[in-house]
Amino acid sequence: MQSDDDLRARFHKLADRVSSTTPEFHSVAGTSRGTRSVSRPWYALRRLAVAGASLAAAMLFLAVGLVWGTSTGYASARVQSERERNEIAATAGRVTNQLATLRLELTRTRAGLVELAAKQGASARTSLLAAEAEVDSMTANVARIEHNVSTAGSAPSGAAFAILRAMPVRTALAALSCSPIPPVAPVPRVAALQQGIPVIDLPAATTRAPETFGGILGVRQAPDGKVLVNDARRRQLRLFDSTLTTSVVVRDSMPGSATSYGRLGTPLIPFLGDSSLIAEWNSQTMLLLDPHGQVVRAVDLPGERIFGPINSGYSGIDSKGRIIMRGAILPRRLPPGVTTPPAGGQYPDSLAILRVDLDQRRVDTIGQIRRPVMKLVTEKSSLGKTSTLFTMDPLQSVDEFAVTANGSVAFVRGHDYHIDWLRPDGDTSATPKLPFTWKRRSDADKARLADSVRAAQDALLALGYPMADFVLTQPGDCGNIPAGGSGRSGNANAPPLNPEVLRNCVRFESNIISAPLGVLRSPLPPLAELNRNGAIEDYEAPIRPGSTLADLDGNLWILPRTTMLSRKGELVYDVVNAKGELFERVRLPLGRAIAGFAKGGVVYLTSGDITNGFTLERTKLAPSPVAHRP
Amino acid sequence: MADLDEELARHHGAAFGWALACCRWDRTAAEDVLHTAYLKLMDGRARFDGRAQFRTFLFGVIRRTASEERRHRAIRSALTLAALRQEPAAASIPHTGLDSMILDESSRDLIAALERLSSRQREVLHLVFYQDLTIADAANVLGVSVGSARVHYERGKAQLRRLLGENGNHAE
Repeated sequence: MQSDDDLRARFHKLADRVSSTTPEFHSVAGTSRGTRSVSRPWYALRRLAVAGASLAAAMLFLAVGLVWGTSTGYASARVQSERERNEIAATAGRVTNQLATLRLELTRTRAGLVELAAKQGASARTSLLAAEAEVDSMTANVARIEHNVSTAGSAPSGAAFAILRAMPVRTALAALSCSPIPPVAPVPRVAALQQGIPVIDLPAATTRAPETFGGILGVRQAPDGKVLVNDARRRQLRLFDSTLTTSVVVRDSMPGSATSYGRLGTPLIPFLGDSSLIAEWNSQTMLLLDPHGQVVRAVDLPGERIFGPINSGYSGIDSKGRIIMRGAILPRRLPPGVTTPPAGGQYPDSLAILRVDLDQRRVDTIGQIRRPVMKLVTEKSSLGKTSTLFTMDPLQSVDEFAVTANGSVAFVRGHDYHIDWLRPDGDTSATPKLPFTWKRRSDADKARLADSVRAAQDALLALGYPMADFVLTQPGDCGNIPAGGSGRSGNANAPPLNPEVLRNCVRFESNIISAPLGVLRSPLPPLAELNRNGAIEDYEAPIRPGSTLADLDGNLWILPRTTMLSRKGELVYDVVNAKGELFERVRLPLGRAIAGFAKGGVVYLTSGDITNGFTLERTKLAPSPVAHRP
Repeated sequence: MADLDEELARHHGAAFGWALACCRWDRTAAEDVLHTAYLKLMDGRARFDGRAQFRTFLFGVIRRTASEERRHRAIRSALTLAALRQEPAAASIPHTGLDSMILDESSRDLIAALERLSSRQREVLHLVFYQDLTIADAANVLGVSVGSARVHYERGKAQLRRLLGENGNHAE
């Protein structure tokens, strides 16, 4: 055991050894004062150089890593692409065989149809045309599938490398090497779309409301799934739960309360977000409703004369909250001597489409649409009552308009079935003609149409147009005026009518006989001879008034006047996306019409009649096979 | 500056011994550390404010400089950029001074035993036995409390005795 002194002695002995080899102080200190002091800038430079070298080395490693990783990625993609191409080639071979078989079957079917037509004559021509159209649609689908298969089978390896071309690593490499980045060629989509337009059957309803409606004029789905339904005929606004099982009446027909619907059925106009507009007829204003139908505030319109047209059922809203509506229909008086007796006028053959800016309180005309020429005949009875007869030509081609979910206004032109677009930013564009099976009318067809219209007119005249009266009581009520009183014929023993009531009553009558008022008129000339100014057009009009709808996914639904794709009378809509591409046709279930839309391809359908009421159903459209549905 | 030179010259031998201890008896590293420490004192990066003895202050500067040098060497080794260092003269300095110490068996055993101690124990023992500092001064140099220095001193001394005894037995 060593004591502290022993340890100290050993340390001192070591110190002696060290001291004998200690360098001179001046050699160390002199170096510090001289060489090192002078070399300090060089020392800093050296450290700077080391830092720069470190940075350069790091960049070099990064670049090497990027190149290495890219090469590995390309190699992996090449192997994967090769494998997929082999699989696609094998699949394409099988599909091609199946398609050839299918094509042979279609050819046989077509030959059978021709043979059947020859046997059964012209009586089965309509059904044969429909079957042939179905065959054409199947042929188009087969061609499209075959084209896709051949395209996929012969796709070069570039398709698999497209991801690598667009990947950030390649961009980084291009940036490092200061080389330009070649743009990726855009894929032509419109041409491929027009080759074969798929026909999609709208699935059967998944949800159905247990109660019936008098007439649905607007459906709005709230974010929480609740559904606001406007029953315009029963003058009720009902809020259903998300399953359409139970409902509460938000606005009722019962007058006198704060939640009264009003005395007239009126459309439910979609507004910004999930809100809606509905007319308040007493004050001639619009009420802004929240998604659950509660009144948020009243919207004052810039001018009284647009209140009626807004509630015509043809209004939409753009992305800036401006109301897009059709203008007021004002008849133009005909020159003296030209009118039909006793007096009359004529509506213009076009309507202005207006844009109502509620913030700036201005109304602009943004377009025109073609409407059928409509004439009116005014007659004054012995009571001083003025009756107006409206008649129109149902054979003319018309234009339609709708406001899509992104705020674009689409003008669907009926004379050649194309769409003019007015975008939210003010740009205008026109899409090419949409595909449509144009049917040329021969002279015999025109004569047959004129005769059939005249026969229909005569039949209605014989019935007295029982359902054609449309009574608008403003501001008083004249709906229960007893028959008889006075006039050219009627019940002479009936009490006289109150002239004050009649002055307050404005009655629009569609034609001929105003039986409730007890005023009988002599039959007027048939409609076909009364109204048509020019000859019947050479081609059937593709659309009819009220045939264009806009869903909440940015698509336009156009119902053509005729189609060969309807099997038993189903409605078949042409669905056009925001780019103007007709990308699919949707066939509704039999007996159903569209009542409204919700986001995500949700469609509300209605069916029924006035006697038994209308139903409300909900279904959802499957995603489009060409993936153009947003 | 003249006073500083005198002070440094007066404590140069002890400073070199302390630098050797801080550099694990690597003479080249010790000379480099001592050189850097002198440079710090002369250009004012390390300033003596008189709160302790100058020797204690000098030893503290040398210890921190040695620590910095070890850290820089570790970083350079980790980055494998030693080849970029522009110190060709460092590799050519022979360890002549250490050779004579190693030749002495007693000194060699002591150095070997010290190498097996922890760094803190080794430093405390060196300051107390080699430099004849008190434990309080040693704590001041090392930047630790007196109590901690005392614990290191006692444990290091016991460990050193045991190691030297083992070496002595092996020698016998």
